[in-house]
Amino acid sequence: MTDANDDIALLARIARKDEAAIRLLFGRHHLRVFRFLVRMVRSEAIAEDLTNEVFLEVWRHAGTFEQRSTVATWMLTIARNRAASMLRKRRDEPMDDDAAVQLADPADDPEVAAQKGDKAAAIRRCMEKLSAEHREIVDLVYYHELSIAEVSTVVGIPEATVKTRMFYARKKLSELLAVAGVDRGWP
Amino acid sequence: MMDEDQALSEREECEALLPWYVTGRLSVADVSRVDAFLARHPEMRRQLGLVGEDREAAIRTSSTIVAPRRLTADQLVARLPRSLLSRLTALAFTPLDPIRNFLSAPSPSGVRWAALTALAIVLGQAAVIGTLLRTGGEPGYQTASGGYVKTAGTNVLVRFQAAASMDLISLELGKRDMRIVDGPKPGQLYVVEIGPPGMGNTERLAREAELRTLTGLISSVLTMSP
Repeated sequence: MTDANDDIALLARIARKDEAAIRLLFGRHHLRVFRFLVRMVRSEAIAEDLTNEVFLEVWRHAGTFEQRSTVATWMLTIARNRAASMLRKRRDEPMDDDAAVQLADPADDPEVAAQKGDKAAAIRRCMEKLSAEHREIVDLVYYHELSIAEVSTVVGIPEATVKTRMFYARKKLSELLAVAGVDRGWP
Repeated sequence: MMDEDQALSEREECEALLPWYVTGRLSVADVSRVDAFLARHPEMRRQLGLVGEDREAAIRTSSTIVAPRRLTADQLVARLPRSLLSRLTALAFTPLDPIRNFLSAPSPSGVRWAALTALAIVLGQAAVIGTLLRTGGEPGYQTASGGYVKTAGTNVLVRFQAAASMDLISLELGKRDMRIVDGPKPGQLYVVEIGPPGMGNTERLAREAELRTLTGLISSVLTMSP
């Protein structure tokens, strides 16, 4: 049985309110969902709350899952919608510096600081400077290894836009690297 | 984003597919398209290296994010919305599954029977508890979070590396005839059965040492009182 089939079987059990099944699904996917949310909202505390909300939503709506995507993609879609909604609200509220703990800049890490001449460290630093949309698509494609269709589902944009957004994210990254003194010879 | 609305040239179209070409998530048709493009433009193979570097950076950035200890299945389960009916049925034993299913889709008749079923469950539990009190019960222990775990074998408490996947953990434990029997518990600890009950001290220590060699998966192994 594949992981995807396992997830679908778990979801069927969750639809029948099987707590052991939601525990298993949580064990399989919470880290992936949490990491995606941290990258989106840039706050571990908020990402933690949102991760719980994602699984609560799975608990409530498992019976409505139609298998048009994998369970993992469905959960990332829920996570993204939750995060986007929270970010919209937060834009309307005064910023709470205590609550909004920013992700540590990798450059702050002494180990990373020691690698400042390191190209890989420069790429990571420049990735953090990309726009939220570009960071998101880079994360979904490279870390979560989603296909074009899956990214389209999660982000809610046409597949053609997925391709162009990723293309321009890569271009922007190369431009930032050039400014940082790393010439990649592209674009 | 205005750029996104602009059509890409044929060359850019193929360049745009390279990230998925590298991650292996392209359709067969698109893989053929990229292969043909790279055959016509071998100099573009250099871009595969750039995509590889970007991918490595993205993976490293996300992989260093560690979930907080509070983010556990126990905490989630405690927040699950449950109806009174499901709380009652959650108390039921396996032989009462038909009743649980009956109650999970309440209908006017289901509601009428709910009170009667709840009474039957309470009586059933009373009978089982009475039996356990008389016999002393089966081997087991009370976990920190209050759950009672039936122990068929010799167990240890294990904390896994945050980045370790459950699939890999299950695979490695399975190879050693070990398995997770409970968890996660507070402190992200799991109860792992390492052998049959009454295992000798030397053998138990050897099994624990075997677990400790899985440094990529396991961060600590704690002996449990027999």
